[in-house]
Order: sequence, then structure tokens, then C-alpha cells
Amino acid sequence: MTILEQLGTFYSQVFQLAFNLENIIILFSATILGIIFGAMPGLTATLGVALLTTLTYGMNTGAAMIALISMYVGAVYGGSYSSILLNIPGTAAAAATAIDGYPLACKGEAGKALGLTTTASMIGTLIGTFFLASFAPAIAKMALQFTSFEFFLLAFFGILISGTLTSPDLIYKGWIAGLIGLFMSIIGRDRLQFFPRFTFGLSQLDGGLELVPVLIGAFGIPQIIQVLRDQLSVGEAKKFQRVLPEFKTIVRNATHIVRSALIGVGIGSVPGIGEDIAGWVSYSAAKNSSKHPETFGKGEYAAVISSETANNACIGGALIPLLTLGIPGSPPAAMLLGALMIHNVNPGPMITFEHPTFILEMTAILLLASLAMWMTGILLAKQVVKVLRIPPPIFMPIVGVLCVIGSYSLGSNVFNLYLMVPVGIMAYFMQEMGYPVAPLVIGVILGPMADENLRRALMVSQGSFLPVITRPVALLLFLIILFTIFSQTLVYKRLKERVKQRIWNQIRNKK
Amino acid sequence: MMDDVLRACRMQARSMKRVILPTPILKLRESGNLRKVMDKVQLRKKDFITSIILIAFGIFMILYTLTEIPMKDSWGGVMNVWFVSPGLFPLGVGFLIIIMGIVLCNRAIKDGGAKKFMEDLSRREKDTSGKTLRLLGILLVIVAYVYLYIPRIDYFLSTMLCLMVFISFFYFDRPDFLKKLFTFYLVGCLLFLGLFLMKADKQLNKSFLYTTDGLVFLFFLAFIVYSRVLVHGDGVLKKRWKTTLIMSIVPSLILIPSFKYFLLVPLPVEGAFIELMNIIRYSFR
Repeated sequence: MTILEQLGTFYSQVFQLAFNLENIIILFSATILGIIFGAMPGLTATLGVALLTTLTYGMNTGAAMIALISMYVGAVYGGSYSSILLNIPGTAAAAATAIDGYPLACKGEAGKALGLTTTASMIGTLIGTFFLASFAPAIAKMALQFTSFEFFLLAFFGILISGTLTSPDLIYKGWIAGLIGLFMSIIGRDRLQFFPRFTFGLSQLDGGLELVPVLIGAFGIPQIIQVLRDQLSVGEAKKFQRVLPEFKTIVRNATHIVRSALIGVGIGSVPGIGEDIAGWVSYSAAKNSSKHPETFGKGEYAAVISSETANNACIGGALIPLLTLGIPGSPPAAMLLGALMIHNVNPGPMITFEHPTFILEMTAILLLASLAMWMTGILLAKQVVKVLRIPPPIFMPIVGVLCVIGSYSLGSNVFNLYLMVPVGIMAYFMQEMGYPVAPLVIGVILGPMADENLRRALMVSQGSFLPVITRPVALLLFLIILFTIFSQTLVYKRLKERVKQRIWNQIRNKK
Repeated sequence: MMDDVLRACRMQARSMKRVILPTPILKLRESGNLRKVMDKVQLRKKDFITSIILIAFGIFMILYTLTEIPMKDSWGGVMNVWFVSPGLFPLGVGFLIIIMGIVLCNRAIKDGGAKKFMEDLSRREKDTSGKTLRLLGILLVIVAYVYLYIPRIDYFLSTMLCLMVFISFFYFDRPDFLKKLFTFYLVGCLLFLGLFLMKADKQLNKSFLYTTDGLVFLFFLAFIVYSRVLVHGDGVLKKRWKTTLIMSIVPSLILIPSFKYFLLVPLPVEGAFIELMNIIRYSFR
């Protein structure tokens, strides 16, 4: 397709979606639901997308994607409500917003802060949408040149980098989580020879572990346990009058917006790490580049704008590897992958052949979702904030019941529940011991890709690993993997210190 | 950036946690580095245990793969070579798990985790924050709901009971009530477990339709009465009790018909209550 044809298809998709009443109802309902999920401390975007997935089984793919992407966009934005009004981030993505958002609310500028986050989130999402539309088809085309070796290394790299960047304690704890995820992906009949592996004679395990119950268990149950066990209490929300778009302040902070959006898209496109890291990195970048870094933490508009632009721009970024390579860029994107599979859409390089307009359709949905989010944020913020009065001991058990019925609904199978509970409990204890959950989920998702492609690659090369060195992309990926592992060793750290010291000494000597 | 992260964590911790600690412990805990070191050693102790489990698990994976999955033999008429074998990937993963286990174990030993583990073998730590009981409460409700009630009892009734117990455990916000309600629910669950293990439920249901549903409903009523007795005389808690009761019934009444009649999901067990819903629903057709 030429660029003009693509633009034509894109706008026709936008109009097709926007002039369908059913779609509009789904768009706004899911956005409001997303904002509520994001605003409620303890509920996350991932959990929101996971639970909504269970309600979309009966919908067509387009309507399901409208619901899920709107929920995703709404939830990432909604986190700013409780960050600004309560000083408790509704989602991890909005944690950086709380640092300056709450002091603004204390000064009586909660309405202005919410207006800024609403507009910044919309701009962030739109920039992410632009990158998705521009880069995804090109990446998908490039990925067609990949052979099995590249795909195996890509899957392995995805798990490794996700473990490296999300681990709160030791880096290799992230890798261990990824390996456990890989083990979970092995359970069931292998896809090349249909040999049962680790099924222990249970016929229910023959098809492998269902992705949706695993995801709901891994993200939902630890959340419920943590909130109720640690007695999360929500204080009185700060009052505000009106939420205004605040375009003037936005224009004044254009540099921060562009930088944060680029950071958001970049971080979003790295497998497994999501909006929270994007928010923190862009906050830090805004502080470092500011002429008055001392105002950060005391109610600085640039800080709020930066973190909110980045976390929403991350959505578009996370969809790029998801659609083109089948590798989710963030935990909610992992859930989207599950939903796409349920609707018989297999993301990856072949997507442009199997569903030629799908990427453009997703871009159009993302565009509409960002507009719906902005309109809802400006008009309904005051009403949505009322949900913050519901105490966690009431809504968390209801979320628990939703997790159960949601997991069960997939195939009306009670075995899904038997699976969801142990996965959830295991994920909770892993989190308690400093293991991240995202690499585990990425491991479950990318495991089959790694397994099949490794064996296919070796089949073609007759057991030789030489193509890893002879193929340029494979070699590049292999070197990155080696470097990621080597950078965690003592030898590397000592070497780095020595090099640093030598450079310093040379600079001093020159002076 | 790290400073900002730490500050945000501290802010969050201050506003989120309401664990009341005795003053000396509080002072000790807040005395900076000591807490960090103690937490780290405690974490490494857990890491030491995890590393042993990981090594054992990795060995199990390798042994299972070598004994149960063909590496070179014929399977389904296809001759295997090692590089196409379904055992290749599990073997690699198992091997990596062992290596990671060893690395983690090494780190845990270096940071004093193994020593702490050996010390704590003879000593029992008491939980003063009540977190363990809250955790057990959550686990009991989830496990009983999924493994005990859902496969055997009317789904509407199971959900209502689960919500009633779950909300009352935490919404009353009283550790003494949590303990009493936990014991009451646990005893009830154990009785039902005994009943189900002896397969007496099937006999009872054969003799009189929906007998087990009736028994669980009686248990649900007993739980309501018991929790009401507990909050007797306290205005605030009485109000909370009413909210708990409403919130256990209303979401069940919205969720279950929505899934059954709008999303057309056949529920796990459709017993007395769902039968009643069917009668009401189809009488309006």
C-alpha cells in the first residue's frame, strides 16, 4: 500500500468506527470504566484489560479491540486522579505524577492539575498513535526477513530484557521469573510433534496452560492479596471545581511533551516494561533538563505533564512490538495479546498479509480512544472521582469474584480456576520475595515462540548453531543478549570501574 | 531519579500502611540503615530457601525430560534427532534454572541469608502486625470458593457466601473479629469438606433435591447472624454490617444473571438459586 492509500484506509477506518452507535457506546463506556479502574488504588490497567477481555468473548474483533484499548488508555490516564487528589497513585504508571500533582492539589490547583494531565495524556496517546502508524508496518515488513534463529533470539531477548528492567531486587530474579514462565509454557503437548510434556497424565493440561487464566491469576490475585493484607486505606480526596484543558500551559511545555512522548514510545516498545518506568524516566529527564529543578516536588506543572505524557505515549509504543512481532511491550499489552488470540488474530510479521488493515484499524481505535479519554476527563472528572469513596475491603472482593467468573467464562471450564489460583498465589509470593511478575508472563507468552523456532532453526541447519554468527540480525541479537548477561557479572562491573577511573585520571592530568 | 523514587515510596508507605507498632519497635524500624540491613538479610534468607527449591526443581525438570521425553527415539512414526526433540527446550530451561539457583544461593550465602535460615530453624517468629492472619483469611476465602464450593454448590450461593465472608473479614477492620469470623468460616468449610470427601452430598441430593445448597445456605445465614452478634452495640459497625450484607447480595444479583442470560455462559453448578432465577426469567418471556 502507498502512503496515500494507507491514509485513505486509516481515515475510512476512523469514520467507520466513529459513525457506528454501538462502537461509540462501547468506546465511552470502556473509557469511563478504564478511568475508574485507573483511579481506584489497587486496581491496575492490566487487571482492567484482563477482566474486560472476559466480557468480549462474544463480540466481533473490532468491537472487542475498541473496548480493550479504550480501557487501557482510560486506565493509564485514570491513575492520575488518585495521584493528584489523594497522593496515592491509582496505578504504578501514575506514581511519578503524585510527587508534584498532590502539592498542586494542596495549593488548591487540583482542577488545573487534572486538566493538564488530561490534555497531556491525550497528546501522549496521539504521539504514540503516530509512531504506531508510521513504524509498525515497516517493522512488520522488516520482520518478514527474520528466520527461526532470529525469532528464537528475539523471544529470548524479550524475556531477558523484561527481567533485567523490571526486577526490584537482584537482576537475575527477573531472569528466574522469566525461566519459570518458560517452564509454564512448556506444559502441554509440544506444537511440532504433539508429545505431552509435564502433563502428568492430566488430559486438561494437554492443550497447555490457558493464557487468560494465567494472566488474570498472575496480575489479579497478588493485587487483591496485597491491598487487603496491607490494609490500604484511602483518605479524603482534595476538592476541585472545574477541569479545564489548560492549552496555554501545555504550549509553554511543548519541549517537555515532545521529549516525554519520545521516551514513552521508546520504553513502551521494549518488551515487558511498561508505563510506570516511562513515567519515572520522563519525570527524571524533565527534572534534569529544567532550569529550576528545585521546584520539582513542590507542585511543578512540567513534572505532571512529563510523566503523564510519557505513560500514555507508552501505549502506542507497546503496541508496536505486539502487532509486528507478537511480543507484548507492556503487561496490559500482554493481556491484549491474549484477547487477540481469542479472537483468532495472531500478531506477528504475517499480520499484514492475514489482516492487511488491522494495524491501521488498531491505530484508528487508539486515536478515538484518546479523544474519548480527553472528553470524558474534561466533562466527567467530578463524577468519576466519587468512586474513590468506595473502600478497598468492598471493591477488592468484588474484583476477586470478577477474576473467578472471568477465568471460568473462557471455555466454561472450571479447570481454568484450578489453574488461576495457584498461579496467583505463586505470583504473590514471588512479588513478596522481590521477583517481578511481568517476565513470568512474558515467558509464558514467548515460550512457545522460542521453543518452536529453536527447533525449526536447528532442523534447517541440521543441528548447527553457526547461523547465529553468520546471519547479521541474529548475530546482533546474540551479542546484545551476551552483553545483557555479561553486564551483570562482577568482572564487567570491575572493568567498568577501572575504565571510568582511567578516564577521570586522564581528564585530571590534562587539567 | 532514585531519590525521587525513594521519596515517592516513603510517601506512599506513609499514606497506605496503617500497621500500628509498639513505640520501641517503631523507633528501631525507623532508624534508617538497621531496617534496610534486617530486611535484606530476611530477604536473602527467603532467597536461600528459594534457591534450594529452584535447584531441586531444575534437577527434576532435567530428570523428567531425560526419562519421559524421547530425545532420539521414534515417536508417532517420526524418528527423532536431538535438535528436533520435544525435550530440547525443557532440558535447556531446566539447566538454566539450576544455574540461576546456584547463583542465587551463592548470593544468599554471601549476604548472610543461609546463616539467618539456620538461626531461625530453632526460633519461631511471632507476627505482631496481624498480616499473617489477614493473608490466611484471603487464602481461605479464595481456596474455599474455587475448590470447595464452585464445583459443587449453586454458583449464585457460592458467590454470595464468598462476598459476605470476604467483605466482613476486612471491612469491619477489627483484628479480634477477623480471628473469630475466620475460625467460624474455617470450621464450616472443614465440615463441608468432610461431607464432600465422604460423598455424602451426592447421597443427600439424591434423596432430597438441592439438600447441599440448602445446607450451605443455612451456613450463609449462620454467618450473617454470627457477624451481626459480633457487631452488636456498635453503631458504626452495624452500618458496616448492613453494607456488607448488601454488597454480598447486589453484585451477585447483577453479575450472575449478566453472565448467564446476556453473555450466555453456562455456570459451573446451576442449583436451587439459579433454577429460581430461570423460573423468574422465563415466566416473563
